[in-house]
Amino acid sequence: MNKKIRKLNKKEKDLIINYLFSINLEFKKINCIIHNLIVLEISGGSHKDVFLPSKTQLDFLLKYNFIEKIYSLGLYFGLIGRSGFEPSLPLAREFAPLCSKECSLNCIFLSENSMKKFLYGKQVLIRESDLSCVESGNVLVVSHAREPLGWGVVRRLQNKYGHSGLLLTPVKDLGWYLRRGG
Amino acid sequence: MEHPRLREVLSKAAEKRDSFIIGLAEKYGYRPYMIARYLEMLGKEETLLLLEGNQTPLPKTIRCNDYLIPCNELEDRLERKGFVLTPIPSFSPYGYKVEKAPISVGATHEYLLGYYFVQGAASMSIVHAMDLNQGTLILDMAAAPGGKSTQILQLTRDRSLLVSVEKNKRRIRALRANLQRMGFKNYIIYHADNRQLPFESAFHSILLDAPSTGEGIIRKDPKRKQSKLINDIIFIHSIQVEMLLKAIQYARRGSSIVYAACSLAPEEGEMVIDFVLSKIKNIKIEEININASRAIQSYFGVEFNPEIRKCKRFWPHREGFEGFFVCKVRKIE
Repeated sequence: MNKKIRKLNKKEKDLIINYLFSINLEFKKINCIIHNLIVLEISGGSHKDVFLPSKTQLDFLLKYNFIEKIYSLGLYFGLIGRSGFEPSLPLAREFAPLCSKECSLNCIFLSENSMKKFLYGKQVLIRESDLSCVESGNVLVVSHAREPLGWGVVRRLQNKYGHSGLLLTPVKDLGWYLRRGG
Repeated sequence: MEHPRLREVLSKAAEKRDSFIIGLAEKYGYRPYMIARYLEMLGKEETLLLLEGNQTPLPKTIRCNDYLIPCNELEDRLERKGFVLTPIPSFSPYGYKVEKAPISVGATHEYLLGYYFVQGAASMSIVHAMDLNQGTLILDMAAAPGGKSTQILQLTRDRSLLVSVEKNKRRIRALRANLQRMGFKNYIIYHADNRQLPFESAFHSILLDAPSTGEGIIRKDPKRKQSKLINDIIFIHSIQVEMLLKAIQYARRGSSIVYAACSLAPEEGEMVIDFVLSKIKNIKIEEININASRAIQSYFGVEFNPEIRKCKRFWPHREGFEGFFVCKVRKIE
């Protein structure tokens, strides 16, 4: 099992930039992040893990050159798989303070009841007590106290009687730590 | 590599099989050699207290992650959900005993948000024996599932680089998940055998919470009363010695190594330290400021190096939680 750490290639950078644009992250911030990301690639692996390490961490890696045994480091940013870029739960924690009711970032604020469903990895029909910054697309999911809950996709649904509502589908929710985290 | 008198003490323990030992072994469900060792260390009266103490399940304890939430706020949130918590300040300023839990402590939103870790009280006091300063390099040599790794980063406010090493493929997933869940970033996890690391004299502080026979957690795993044979102790002792010798290699001069094992077995505690002290000249043992009993000084006729008095032991019937051995080794300048 060969492991390699490297900078992102153009295709990988584009995938991540597109995702960060889709949640309305400021260009300045994207620019700041994108050049510092690294990919941990395992030959024959089904996906590639993306990390944002600190300078101290990179210096340590370079000094000891023990790359083949690395499992994880720094801020786990997400993974790049067959279906594109999937943001991580630590990234949700990192960006959650940027969520505001003025919607500078595409966030969705869930009430206690909706939160319970979401954390079980279930779809949530958005209620009046919830607040979504967008009607469709990728969103960072937080509680009303801006506690990070995960990532999701919102879309508008219409039933046969013409009533419409928003549906939140989880991409990654904190409940993952219990279901699959270890 | 092993203590030259390891097999001798274990044979003595195995040979002692009088009716009192057999009677206690049968009554409480232990292997007789274990009872013989407890009698050697504690005498009759206290052995009975230990055996009775081990009959009661281990209390549930949690460590509040004050890196993410003030502990009084966590207390309020959990109490609103029907939990009853009691602080256990003599073990850790962030430790709580869970007296009542309406749902599993590992299934609350607060747990998922990383606001606390479910961790034994003795286990959470081990990290307080370490030299932890911000801006340093710290090694956790047997890190999964991450209780102590997350505590190290909590105490250094995520401002020291922690290198966490774990060999077991299944357990390393839990280590990563816990470090992430609890909001830390300043770590590197290596999936490796901790005896084969290239980190010569690299670290300012090292924790070796060594793999053990688990004799300290019989309250959690009563099967342990029967599951380990004398050969298992010999095997694990030699691994612990090897790991501690490596830990000393990985430490910078002047820095410290905290050795711990969740076991009551002197073969995994005092005898490991005694042997390493006889092999390595540039180390000394330091006093540790944690609330626990003194290590033992003699065992089946073996007198340990007097320095070992400075090491500590957690006894289930004295300190009230899991059994542990802990010792702080300083690599001399």
